[in-house]
Amino acid sequence: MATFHCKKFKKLLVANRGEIAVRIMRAAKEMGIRTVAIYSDCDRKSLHVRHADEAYPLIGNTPEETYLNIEKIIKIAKECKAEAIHPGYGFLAENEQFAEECSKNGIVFVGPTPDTMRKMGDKVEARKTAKENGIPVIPGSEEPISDPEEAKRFAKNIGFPVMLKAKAGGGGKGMRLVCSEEEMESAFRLASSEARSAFGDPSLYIEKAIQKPRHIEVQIIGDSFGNIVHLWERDCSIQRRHQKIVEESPSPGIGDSLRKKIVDAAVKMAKAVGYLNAGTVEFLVEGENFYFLEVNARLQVEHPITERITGIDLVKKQFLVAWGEKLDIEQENIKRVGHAFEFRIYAEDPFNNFAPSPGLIRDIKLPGGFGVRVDSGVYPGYEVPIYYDPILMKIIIWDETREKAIVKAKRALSELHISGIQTNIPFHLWLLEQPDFINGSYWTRFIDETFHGLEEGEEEIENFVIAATIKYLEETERKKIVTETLSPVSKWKIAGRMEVVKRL
Amino acid sequence: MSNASEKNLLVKIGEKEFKVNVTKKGGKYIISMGDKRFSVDCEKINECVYTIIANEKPFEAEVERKNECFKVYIANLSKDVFVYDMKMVSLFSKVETVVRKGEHTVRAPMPGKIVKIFVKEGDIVKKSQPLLTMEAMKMENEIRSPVDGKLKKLFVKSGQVVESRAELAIVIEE
Repeated sequence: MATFHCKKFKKLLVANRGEIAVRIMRAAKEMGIRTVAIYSDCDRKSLHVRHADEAYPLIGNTPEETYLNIEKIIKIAKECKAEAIHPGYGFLAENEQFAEECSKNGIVFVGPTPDTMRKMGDKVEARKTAKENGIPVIPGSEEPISDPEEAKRFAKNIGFPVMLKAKAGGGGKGMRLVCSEEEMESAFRLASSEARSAFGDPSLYIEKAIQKPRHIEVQIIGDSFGNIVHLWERDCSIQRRHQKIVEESPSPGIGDSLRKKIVDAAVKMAKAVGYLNAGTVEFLVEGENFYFLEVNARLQVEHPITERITGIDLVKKQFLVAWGEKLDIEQENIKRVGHAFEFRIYAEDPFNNFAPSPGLIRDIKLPGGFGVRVDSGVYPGYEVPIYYDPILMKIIIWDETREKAIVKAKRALSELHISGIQTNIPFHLWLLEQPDFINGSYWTRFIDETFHGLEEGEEEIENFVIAATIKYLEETERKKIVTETLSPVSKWKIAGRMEVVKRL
Repeated sequence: MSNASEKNLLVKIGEKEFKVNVTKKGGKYIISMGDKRFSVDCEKINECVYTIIANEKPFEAEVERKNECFKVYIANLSKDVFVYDMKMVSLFSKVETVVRKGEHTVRAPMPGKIVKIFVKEGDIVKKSQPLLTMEAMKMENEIRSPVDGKLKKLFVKSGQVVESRAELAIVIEE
């Protein structure tokens, strides 16, 4: 192993924001680690700042000047004497240069080594490694493609539809499905520009799109002694425009024999690169076939469902292996119990083509009860900024069986209220009523193909009219009273009214 | 003391329009829209939360004023609701049709940052031709021309951050 730095650190900087920063700080506190938050100007009142033991400003708002700024973050870490950095997900989580800078400055990076990140983060390189190890891959370009014309030629060769993907990507950013030659120009431009702003690298590569795949991924974790275990799979096929919305474990779409093949392939892949710390090996699955997709060399958004069914706190295990200690779990003891779902609550409007809906959160009522976990990064009075991901919180549901978990999810999501901004809660309630979701037969474009927007019922709209009408009348009355109060005559009127009240 | 007051209102939610007649008698409201009539009882929980019973059906609403409209929130649904007094509406609508005929204002569908602008003032544009790209929450969205015509005015610059419904451009239909 190349440049692996480890020591039992006691102070950790979390190079992230929102719910994941809060979640990491919680685990750190339980392990007696002091927590440091960093924040952009608009995140001063963000929940992760309020949770931390220390907090330092990054100055600026855009990701480039804040959470993606390696120089600023390293400088803060050194000045406050943080011994380790946890990158969370997104931002610098899979940036090998950042991991290297940490190492150079004697800071433990809680994640894989820069070397693994380079091998896995580069999708083209990762495909090669998979192929060499006998893991099936999808036909596609081995090298990045730099312009739309070249992309058109390549796509015609392997046949439409094709998928454009950011070379440095992940999380659905810089990703586009292209069904015909005509769509290529605009799709290439958008995907490339998204890739540049999300990862600082505009390169794209092309893959043949598989018609009705499921997205199934395997959680792995490895220590510096070469031990690697898997913590079963997650099914993340409920996506919209390649952005995951709902995840579950176990996957309802595969049997035990295919499950075994997939988790074995994941461990093989991880062993091939000497994987250290937590990561995810992603596959596309169609029928009994599975194809290696990519390795996400980081903690995933949806890690809590794995924690729920295995009873293992993944962030705490990340700290353990980052301390240079041996994994204290063995493969045969990692059992799964029951069924877990994660519902991502986004600031997006499902009634308006999922348009981003940032703004001031007026009120929140959270669900509770047995088997309901809430990982949130927001609170009433918090203003959701326009600069970052729309994720507000995650609702994690557990019950003995998938059927019971669905019933519980409906109950919990009906309890959840977020006002002030529009969220995708109504979308989740719609999803929980869909027969194909209930019986588990869905695929990655299930939402794109079957969801045609939500319409409010007539009665619901009437309630809006009634509420606004009342408020309008109240305002006009108040204005009238104010005007009356200002005129000298009205004081007599008020005095008269007071007389009436006294007599009552 | 009976303070009966009657008003005729125009209520707009998105594309939908409702002509509403409302009377307040004592503490109760009688609200009619179309062929429907609601007997409404309303109590305030706090400054913006109301518990309303309309024809025996209770629901809760949060209502706050936001510039020229009300932001209303009922059961995880948030809507911008515009309420106008009918007397004003008839006056406004006449002026609007004379001045604005053939002019289409392109507005920001959400708050965000202008990333790229593909056109300049005076350009001839086709319907659904991309005019500019906006970025919000890391997703890029193309804003397209609503009609065939000429770009009369461009209100924004690249890099500018705009509010939801901010004016971006005016296209004259041709």
